[in-house]
Amino acid sequence: MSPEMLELLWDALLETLLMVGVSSVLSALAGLPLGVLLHVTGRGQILENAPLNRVLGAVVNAGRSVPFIILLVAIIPFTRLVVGTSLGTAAAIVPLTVGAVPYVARLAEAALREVDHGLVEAAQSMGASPRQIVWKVLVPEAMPGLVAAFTITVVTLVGYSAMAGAVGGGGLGDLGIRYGYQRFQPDVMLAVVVVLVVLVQGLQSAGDRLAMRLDRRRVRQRQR
Amino acid sequence: MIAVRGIEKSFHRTPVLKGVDLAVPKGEVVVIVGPSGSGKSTLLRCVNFLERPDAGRVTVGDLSVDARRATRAEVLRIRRSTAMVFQQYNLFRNRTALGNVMEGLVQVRRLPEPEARRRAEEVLAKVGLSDRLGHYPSQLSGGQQQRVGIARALAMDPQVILFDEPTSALDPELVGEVLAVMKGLAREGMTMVVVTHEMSFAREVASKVAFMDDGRIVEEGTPAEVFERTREERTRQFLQRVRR
Ligand SMILES: Nc1ncnc2c1ncn2[C@@H]1O[C@H](COP(=O)(O)OP(=O)(O)OP(=O)(O)O)[C@@H](O)[C@H]1O
Ligand SMILES: [Mg+2]
Repeated sequence: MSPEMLELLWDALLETLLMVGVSSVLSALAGLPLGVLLHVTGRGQILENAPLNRVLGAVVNAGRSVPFIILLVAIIPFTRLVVGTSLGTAAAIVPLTVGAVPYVARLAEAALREVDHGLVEAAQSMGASPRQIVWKVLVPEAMPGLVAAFTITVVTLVGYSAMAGAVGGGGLGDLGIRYGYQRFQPDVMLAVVVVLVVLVQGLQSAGDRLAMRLDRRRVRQRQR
Repeated sequence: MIAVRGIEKSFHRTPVLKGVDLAVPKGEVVVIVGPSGSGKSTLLRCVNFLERPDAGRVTVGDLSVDARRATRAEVLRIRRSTAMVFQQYNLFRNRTALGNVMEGLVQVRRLPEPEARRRAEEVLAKVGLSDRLGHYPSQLSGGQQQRVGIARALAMDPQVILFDEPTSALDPELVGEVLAVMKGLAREGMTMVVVTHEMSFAREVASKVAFMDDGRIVEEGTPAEVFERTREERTRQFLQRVRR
């Protein structure tokens, strides 16, 4: 592969990392609180609120039922409003974030639901407030699950970001389509696939390792 | 002293507590026995509002509230002057023994960390776990975990500790060490309400035994009164069953 090609590949990788990195952080910032709210307003939970829970659940489900490729196009007006253009890497971050928020919310909710309700009751019995229970019990106890959920989100966003290339977002997916497919350069296609595979493997195993490190439930060796 | 009066509680229109009165003078140990489903856990959980009673009064120390109307602040005050020990220990899995005990002191009691640590070490020593401070629950036996649970309750300096079958999840050979810790607390004058099937503990430690059946306290008195001079037929039948 030519040096020019390598440079293109490098730039595409950086674009992908930028898109995925920024939209991961933004979707976590919006999705985690939403997931917490979904959980604590659920039945039998500390801030049980059936109407609010139903509304939130419906919104999240609606968000998840829109295929990403449709969302990408459908929210172009909103994207323009936010970043002033619907083309380019910055513009791709908007649909990526909007698309990922409902996933993060549901995955976070699922991780929080794994926390033994007995722990919540233990905190309640000490007189902890709902805020303390969220921050000192639910979130720390669910942390391994939350990290796993976030890892899934990041990996999914790598895939989505390739689609975002279709609206001029740039990145590895865009490079693969333009050179590998349209100009028929199989070596570029192969290089793109290899970089994507390595990237996803790296992200997943980093996430797994972190989740494992945080998970004290697995510690088994008894020291006596 | 703590007391409940006229406590009623239904789940899905099925009455589970049908007007329960119980008084626990300071420094005394009340043991509640009774068949499964009679409402023992629900009664304990009504005292600290893990379940909100449908009717009745709850009194803890100088705070007395109409259970149905208790405000959020009153519920928190009651919870902060009571403590609970659970059948399943309910320890924070990602915190050490020391961390489990410190958490409530730092978060709820707002103690500065060094002071919380000192207090946590003190109560963990009391339950015989000075050499397990840095262990996570998964590194401790059931009996040790439950002793951490007791230390956590004790650390908050409550007016009463509510025990809900603290030894029922333990292997038989581990029951003794937990009961021994509880006996120690009783001797030191801790006010305790204990739901248990350990009749020998009741006999030895209780100032008063209350027998519950079908949402009511059917009979109460000293261990000798309830166990030896049983008045109620239902109590007699139950005692025969657990003695076998
Ligand atoms: N949250 C709840 N929702 C519905 N029903 C409940 C709930 N908690 C308890 N019950 C019911 O109330 C009744 C009394 O339950 P409780 O747990 O107080 O009994 P218990 O005397 O503690 O029994 P055990 O010895 O088995 O622990 C049972 O029939 C139980 O099924
Ligand atoms: Mg029970």
